[in-house]
Amino acid sequence: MTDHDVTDYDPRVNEILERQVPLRLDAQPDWAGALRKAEDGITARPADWGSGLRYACEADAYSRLHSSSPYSSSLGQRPALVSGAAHRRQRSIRLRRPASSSTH
Amino acid sequence: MTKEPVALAALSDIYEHRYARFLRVSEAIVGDAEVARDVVQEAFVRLIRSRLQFRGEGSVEGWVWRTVVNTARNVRRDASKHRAEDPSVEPTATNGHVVDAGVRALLATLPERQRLVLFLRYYADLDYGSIAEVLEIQPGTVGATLNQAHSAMKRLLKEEVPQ
Repeated sequence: MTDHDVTDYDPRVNEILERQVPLRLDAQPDWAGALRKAEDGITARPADWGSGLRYACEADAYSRLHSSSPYSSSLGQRPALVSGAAHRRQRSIRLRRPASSSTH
Repeated sequence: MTKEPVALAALSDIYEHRYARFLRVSEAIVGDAEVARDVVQEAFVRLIRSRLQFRGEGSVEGWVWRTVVNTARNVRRDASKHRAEDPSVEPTATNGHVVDAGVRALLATLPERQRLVLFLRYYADLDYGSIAEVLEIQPGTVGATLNQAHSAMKRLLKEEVPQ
């Protein structure tokens, strides 16, 4: 912000506008929902589309199902940081569980 | 490594950190808190889908703000057409909050650019350069437009906040 900006910032205007639309700090963002909707609407995806987005959605679903997962704390907020390796690890965990329960 | 995952992470960061301000500006434009939530979600759905087309002209945050603002403007425009067809449909700007009808009426009379500059300056707390980038106008035009909006607001200030 420059000095010029500060000069043109009118506290009385701010006060009146503040009454119009309050800042809703309690509003809950839903990044995972936006990701899911973005993927739902795509029929022809770019070649690299699935590399981040699909992993992110699956990982997010996984984190909700397995709250004790080490991924659960941040996946909803930073889904793009889920690497392919992490995804494969989650996938392998998911696939192994039914197999181990059926052998005993 | 492609830039795609980085772009998605950047969008996620901006979404999480600026969500309340996106909501506020959207609500100011469309006049309804619930619709504003849908506006922000829809804007980010578009941003996610089109992120590979971002050319790097200007900042990512400016591109995000522009998409949010334009999505809200489109919704407002569609709602205005709907109201013209069905006068029984009125904007629900209150949403449980006390809304000064005089302020709303005054803001409604301002040219759209003045309203948007006010919202981006006061609700989004953007500086002149950022506002210029979002509205695709010159920074000098932002200052002039803001001055015009302030002058228009003074009439209301005299009535609402006697000194």
